[in-house]
Amino acid sequence: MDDMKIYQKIFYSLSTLAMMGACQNASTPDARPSLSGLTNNVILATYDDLADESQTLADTLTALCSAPSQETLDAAQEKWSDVRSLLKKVEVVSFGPYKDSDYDAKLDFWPVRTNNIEEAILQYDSFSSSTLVLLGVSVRGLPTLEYLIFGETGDADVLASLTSQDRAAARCALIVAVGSDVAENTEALYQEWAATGDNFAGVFSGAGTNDLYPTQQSAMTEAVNQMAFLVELVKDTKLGKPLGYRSGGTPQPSQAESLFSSNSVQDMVDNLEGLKSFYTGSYGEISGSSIYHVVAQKDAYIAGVAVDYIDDAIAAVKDIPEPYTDTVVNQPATAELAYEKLSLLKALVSGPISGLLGVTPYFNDNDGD
Amino acid sequence: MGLSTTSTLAQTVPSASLAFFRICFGMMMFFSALRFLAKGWVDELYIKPEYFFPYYGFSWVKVLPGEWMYVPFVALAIFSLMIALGMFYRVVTPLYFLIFTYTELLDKSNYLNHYYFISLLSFLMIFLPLHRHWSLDVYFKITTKVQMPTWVLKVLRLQVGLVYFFAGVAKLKSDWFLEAMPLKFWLPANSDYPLLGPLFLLPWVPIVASWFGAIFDLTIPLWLSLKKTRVVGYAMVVFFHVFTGTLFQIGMFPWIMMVSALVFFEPDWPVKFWNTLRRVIKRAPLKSASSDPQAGSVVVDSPSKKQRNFFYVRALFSSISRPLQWVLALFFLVQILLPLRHHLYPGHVLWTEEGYRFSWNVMLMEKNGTLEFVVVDPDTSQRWVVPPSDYLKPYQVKQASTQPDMILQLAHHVADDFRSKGHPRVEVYVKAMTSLNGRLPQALIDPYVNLAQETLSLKPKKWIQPSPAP
Repeated sequence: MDDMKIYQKIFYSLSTLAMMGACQNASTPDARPSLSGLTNNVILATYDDLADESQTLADTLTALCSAPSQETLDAAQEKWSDVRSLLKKVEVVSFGPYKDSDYDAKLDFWPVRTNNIEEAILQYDSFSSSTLVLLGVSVRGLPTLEYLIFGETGDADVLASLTSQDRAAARCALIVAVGSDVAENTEALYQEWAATGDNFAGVFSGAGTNDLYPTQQSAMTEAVNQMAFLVELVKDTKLGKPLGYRSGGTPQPSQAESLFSSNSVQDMVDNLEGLKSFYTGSYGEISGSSIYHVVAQKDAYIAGVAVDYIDDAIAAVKDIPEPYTDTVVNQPATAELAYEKLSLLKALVSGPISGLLGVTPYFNDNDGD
Repeated sequence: MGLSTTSTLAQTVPSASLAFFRICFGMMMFFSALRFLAKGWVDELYIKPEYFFPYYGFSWVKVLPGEWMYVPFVALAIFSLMIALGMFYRVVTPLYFLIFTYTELLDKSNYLNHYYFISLLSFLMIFLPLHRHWSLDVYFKITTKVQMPTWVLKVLRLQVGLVYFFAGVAKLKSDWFLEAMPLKFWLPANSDYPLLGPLFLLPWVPIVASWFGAIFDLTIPLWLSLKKTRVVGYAMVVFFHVFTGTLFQIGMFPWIMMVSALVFFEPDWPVKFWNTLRRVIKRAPLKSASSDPQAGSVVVDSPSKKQRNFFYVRALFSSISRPLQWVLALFFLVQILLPLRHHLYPGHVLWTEEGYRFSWNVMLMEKNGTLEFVVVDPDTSQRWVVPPSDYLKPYQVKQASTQPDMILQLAHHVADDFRSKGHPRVEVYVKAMTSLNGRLPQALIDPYVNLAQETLSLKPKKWIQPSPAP
């Protein structure tokens, strides 16, 4: 009988606690506003801009091939850089349609396979969408365009290749076709996210109400892991490999991203600025809620330190002189400093940030304690 | 331990609860082995990895080639079922202990406290005659049905009690008590937990949970030992383990502990429980506990003639042999000293992890980090940055990244690899940034120490950087 009373007491206590919790829940901030802010203010906005700018790039490329000149070439190169910047800023969103529908390969396959591009120019006089699909991702996307409009030996040779050299018409046809392909793909990518399209934005920001993200936690896990992946990608692949970290210290300039446009460092800066937007929820003039705000609810200090670490990493990367292909050979110390800053950022994201958000790193965890 | 007097220990008790424990242990291990096989963990953990982290002194324990690694796990499934059935128990228990412990010694990456607990239990079971009731050995007259000497029960109770107690002692740290870490991280992440989930978002809940967890671990052996508090204590055991088991991914551990804690009940509780159940279901009259010599409280070796006629009861183990006393005394002495050995090392045990394993440090930390090796050939001035993923599977990377002894072992492996590639004087340095319980990341290993020249030993590792401030 005494035991029965104790059980009753335990039951009533637990029930009271649960009710207290349920009451508190109504006023407890959750991750939904942050997921929504991240999705609408940052991801969708960037994808929208990317699609718009890609269309402008396609138009600029058409103009270039209609009347090849230094002026039209400059315009095309400038627009390519704008689009490139947006694509790098949104590279942290390497999940959802970007991966599932292979936009990463369609838009940003690298290192560039110049032989494939030159063979395609020799083989075809014109390029339809289906021709590009047939040729594969090594003849599509921004890196291919970069090779075609920046070239290996300067603007004069590029202009010559579009006017007086053999297969100039085919080369131009490829430039226009790849430009259109990029515009179509960025628009399709946007539509897969947009509410007016396939509404992946609704799936991600509506985490907790669908099978793909059964809990808000699962969406937050996705987001934070993407942050960690991006830092690792920049650190190990974009910065470390050209430095020769994987090849006995012998620099490997050919491993740098955006070789022909000497845009390697800017690519990394854009990657990290995109990461900052992703974390803080601020993009352009818009400032909203994002991962930072969830972290800050639990530990404002760590939330702020993360911003500092990202800024430190951006500053360190900005200090690397372009072209990166020369830097890795002649003055690697600046890149090595940036590498250290990125290591620290990676440890922060994988450690306290993940911990505060209760994020499970993507590992094959066995059960355990 | 409870080796008070030989006469006390020579008393016998009904063997029902011990037989029940054997059956449950065997069945849990059977399903555990099946689960291991079904989930492809043999392949993932023992066949695919190219490198394994041996325990100190056990580098001679090697994996079997390729698919042969399935053999020990199939054997574990069969032997655990035989233990449950009480079939050739005396032969099977040593084999089970050896094979299970063999699989655990293969790779430090797979260390879990409950695996260690199973090794300990299966070792003890070699000496405990748990097959003398409800077993095929009795059915086929390989052995005879008897009551158990009291010491058998006490040995198991002591083992279970030590696990709880030292798990509680391990929680007496400022991170746990003052900072509520790592529960402050883990509980809010489970705010979708049924009914109680919303509570986890409240700031005071991790603190209360931490204190409750520590007090529970420290005192639960006492609650279970006293008759008046036993039922409530066991209810708390069930609540605690069901709660943590459903909240965190801790596999079989909660179930093992819930079953093990039953040894604190009266030795005839399964019979009484069954009788009560029968009465409730069939409204059958309650069978008198006293009519069953396996039931009842502690009795001395004096079965009546009637009892002998009905049940052929004999108490074979009227005392512990002197060698066994020494074995058990040594066993429990080691059990007491191992969790305390970390005091011999400088620094915080959660940071250095010197003396961390085999000490019931259960769910005490959230530790993450990044790890890279910087390999230098002084002859050619070549320099490589080598990620651990070049040699390890992702789950091994996660473990190795924050555990200094594993970092040293991997550094040696990296050095061996580079030597085999023509760099005989290779130096290996480490860049390891580690975050412990939410602190900002800091260097775990001195980046200027060539780990290729450091030897693995039980001595304090001077190349571990000072522990972070509390």
